[in-house]
Amino acid sequence: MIHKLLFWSLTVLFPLPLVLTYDALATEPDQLKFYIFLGLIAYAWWLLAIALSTRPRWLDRFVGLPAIYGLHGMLGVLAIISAYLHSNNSYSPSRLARYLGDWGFYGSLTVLCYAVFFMSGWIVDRSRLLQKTKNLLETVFRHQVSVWIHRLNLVIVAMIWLHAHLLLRVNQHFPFMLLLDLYSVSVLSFYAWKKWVAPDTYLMGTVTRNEPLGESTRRLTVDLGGSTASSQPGDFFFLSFQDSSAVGREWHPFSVTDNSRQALSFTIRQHGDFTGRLDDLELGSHVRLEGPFGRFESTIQGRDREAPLVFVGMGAGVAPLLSLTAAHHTTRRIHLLWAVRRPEDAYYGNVLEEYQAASGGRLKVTTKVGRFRRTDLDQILTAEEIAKGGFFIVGPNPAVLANQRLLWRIGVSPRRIHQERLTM
Amino acid sequence: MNPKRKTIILVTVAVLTMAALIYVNLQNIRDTRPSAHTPSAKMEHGS
Repeated sequence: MIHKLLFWSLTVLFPLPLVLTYDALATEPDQLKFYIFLGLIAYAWWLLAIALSTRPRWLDRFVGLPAIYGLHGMLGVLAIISAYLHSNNSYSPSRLARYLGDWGFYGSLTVLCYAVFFMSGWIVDRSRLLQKTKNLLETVFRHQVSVWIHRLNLVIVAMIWLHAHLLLRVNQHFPFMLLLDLYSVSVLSFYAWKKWVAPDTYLMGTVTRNEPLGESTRRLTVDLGGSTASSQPGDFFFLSFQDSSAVGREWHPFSVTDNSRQALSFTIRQHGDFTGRLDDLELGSHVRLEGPFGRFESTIQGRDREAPLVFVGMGAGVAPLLSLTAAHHTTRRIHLLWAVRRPEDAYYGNVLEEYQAASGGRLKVTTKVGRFRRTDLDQILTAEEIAKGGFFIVGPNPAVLANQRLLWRIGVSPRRIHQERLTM
Repeated sequence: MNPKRKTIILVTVAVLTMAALIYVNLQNIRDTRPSAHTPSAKMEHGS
């Protein structure tokens, strides 16, 4: 909790030097100064959102990637509100500065609306109709198109930067302009480093196995060629296939299924345009791996060792839970709940039986065809699991939200429910 | 190109950009600073 508070305090701390410097130098009436502050804050928040979009790994270990993406999205919304108040209550004698400010505002509003619908999951994950609409639209607006539209934010930031430089009342304060430029150049250089230099430092691997599991799931094995990943159980990587004719190079997150660190296995549900094409991924394709990311293992380590762990996996969402089970089935009491669509989709049944046999009665596995309903959970979960258990939910986003609500209703404290949805 | 070389290029570009921006900002301030020879000053001398 304290980590998240510290992380969220960035929202205040990041724009503060800009605001304080301007306050110390400018001589405008207080009311006008206030609205200029709002413009500065909006600009600083956009820069911070860009910095967060680079998903620094040390920050992921500190607060988790969902929190990073959460703040990234919130900053986009807060910056629009701040920019709206700024543009409606301040004036500029320069026509070009005015145009740039207006275009920047309407541009970022458009990109924000697009991102909320196609990328955030804020609304779409909570409505079946919108989910279907999104799936339909994604035949045209594919994920990679959305990513490029989202990158228009960089152009918008450049427009706002120029807007600030054209304003006479702002650009006459040299120390302030120096700081503003330092902010802009630092963040954009960091972003450029992340996109251009950092990928060369990531792990490289080769696809050695690509096998179907059930009707719409695949298991990929990536050999790291002698290197060892620093992953923990339950972690995930962003993968980019470098030289495959089947799929593009865009980055997608996948969870590691087992405990090996030299050859990583990924269980992938084929539900999108990218994953649907993995059938044709050639063996020997080179893969770049960004990561590992994830906080499931550190959360488990921070919990009472005597309290039971309850893993809830939907379909291929069992992947990270399987690696956590592999790591802890001999030392912790675990109850794994696995919901599958059809009986033949329980493709890890044999592996789970082996873990169960080796666990000395610590591991309990409940596999169910179809989703878990409240009546199921009332029967399956023990009173101790509901009262003290640490719950870890993985699966498609709407299903994770539905299960989270279900657990709240049966009395599981939100603090004991953990999930790593990568949308907000 | 290896990552070290890319990093050096990136840092150099960032430093040069900052240097250019400092120059532009200073020029801006010099251009907008009220000069001693403003038309109003000339008027006063002339009257």
